[in-house]
Amino acid sequence: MNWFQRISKIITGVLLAIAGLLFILLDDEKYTLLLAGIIIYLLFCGIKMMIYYLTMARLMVGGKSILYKSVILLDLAVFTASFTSLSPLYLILYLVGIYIAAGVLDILRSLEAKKLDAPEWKIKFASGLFSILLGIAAGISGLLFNYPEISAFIYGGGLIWSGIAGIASAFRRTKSVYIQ
Amino acid sequence: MQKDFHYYATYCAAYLAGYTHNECMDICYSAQLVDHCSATLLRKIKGPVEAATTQLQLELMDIRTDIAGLQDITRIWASFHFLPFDLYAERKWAPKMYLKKYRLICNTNSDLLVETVKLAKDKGTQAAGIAMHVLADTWAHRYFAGTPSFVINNTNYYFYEIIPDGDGFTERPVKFIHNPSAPDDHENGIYVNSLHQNSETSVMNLGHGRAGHLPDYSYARYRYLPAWGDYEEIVKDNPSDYMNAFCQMIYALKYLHGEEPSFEKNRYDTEAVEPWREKIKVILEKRQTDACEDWKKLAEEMSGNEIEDFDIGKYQSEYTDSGDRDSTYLGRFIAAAIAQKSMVTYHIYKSGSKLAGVSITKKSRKGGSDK
Repeated sequence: MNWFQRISKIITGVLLAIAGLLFILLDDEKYTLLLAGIIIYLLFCGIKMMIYYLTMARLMVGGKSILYKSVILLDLAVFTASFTSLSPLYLILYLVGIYIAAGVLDILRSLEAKKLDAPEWKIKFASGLFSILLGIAAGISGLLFNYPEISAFIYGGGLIWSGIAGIASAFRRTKSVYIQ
Repeated sequence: MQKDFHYYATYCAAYLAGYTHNECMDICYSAQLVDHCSATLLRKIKGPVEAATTQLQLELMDIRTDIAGLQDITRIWASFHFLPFDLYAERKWAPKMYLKKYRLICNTNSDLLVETVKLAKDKGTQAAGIAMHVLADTWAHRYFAGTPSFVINNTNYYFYEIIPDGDGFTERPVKFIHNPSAPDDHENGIYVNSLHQNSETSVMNLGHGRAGHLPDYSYARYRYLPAWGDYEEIVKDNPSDYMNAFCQMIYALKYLHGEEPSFEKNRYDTEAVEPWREKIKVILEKRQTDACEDWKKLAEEMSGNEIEDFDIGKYQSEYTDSGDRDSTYLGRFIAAAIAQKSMVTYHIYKSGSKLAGVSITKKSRKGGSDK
């Protein structure tokens, strides 16, 4: 990891932690703000990936995977936009769903890393597991006990945790394989 | 390629081309130094960092992959380790952005190789050594580009090693791992490669990182799908390629020594190598990740002289203590490295790409032009 990547990681971590804090402190407008943020992020990533596919990756072996990823991201952006008129409960469940999905992805990646003998698989596995448990806790409190505030609190806590973990990983010493 | 070929095999090629033992030592030292002359080393000896011919793992780890960082990487790796084959190559429906990277794919017998060898003519043994490094690497590193690029340098699960078995060959899938501390296990076909990163400019996608060190092993034969190859398989036969590299080095060195009137593409000195062909073939085919010992033995048998091991500090004090640094061994190496880098950067820039930076041509006082 070069110093530029470390600084980016720190900035992203700080922004995530602030978002988590705002999510806990703000009232109902936080949902709209968060949705807008997620939509913009997903649109930006989806469009960027689509441009990359059209200009470069369409000519590469296995490049279609980049197209699929960009379509999925754009779809998610549209799907997220459709949540603006729903009640906070459904919204929080959707956010929790994304959080759990991200955790599952982290675990799948960590298992792949383990298969390839990459030493960082344990950290990825732990963070994935934590995301899933947090998501389940937020889901249970919202769905079973009908307390969206508690779900929002857990979700906000999760964001703060992700931010802090990101900042910590920026200071971690990395060992990578470079072939010369 | 590694020290076994850049140092010991280059010595053998120089000897067969007619150089004396001391000249051979100078040439092979310079050829190997290309893999060590990093910005860190140049800072240590207070030399010009623009003469860097390689980047250390730590340097790569810390380099920014912004435009300037990418240009720095490309200048070094395309000039010395992945000489581009065709800077004006075309591909149907390919946007310019893609073509700029596609055109940096390394291959053998390019116009740039001819320029590289000619540039070293009458410039001394250091320039000859650098040219031999570049030439040899065109054979080992062909089909990869000396710039970070996911769409060019990536490889996938379709990667099979072809292993001699009696009179024929057997195949087995290559298992790639990312453990930096694990050595390559050629017995079981487990090799270390760089991480899969679908970021176009990640340094993980520089050169043959995604294929691990397989291109650097003379015994390796494998087939795979290069990312740029439109699903056409490439079969890489290193023993044959390395033999061609060796024969082409002898021919090029004979040209630099004045025994050949010109250097042309696709010419190999198979005659000079003939008495040693079988022994060389045995070394090239032997499944080992380091063939230094075998090449050293052969070099000593050829010349009857002892070949000292490569010592990175050999010429450093001569350079740092000298009042006239340009005339020292390292001074000449640095001058030759800058000339090679400038020449390749100029041609990449002239082809319409700024991936290696901007090249400025200055009128020289002597009436020529400096790039």
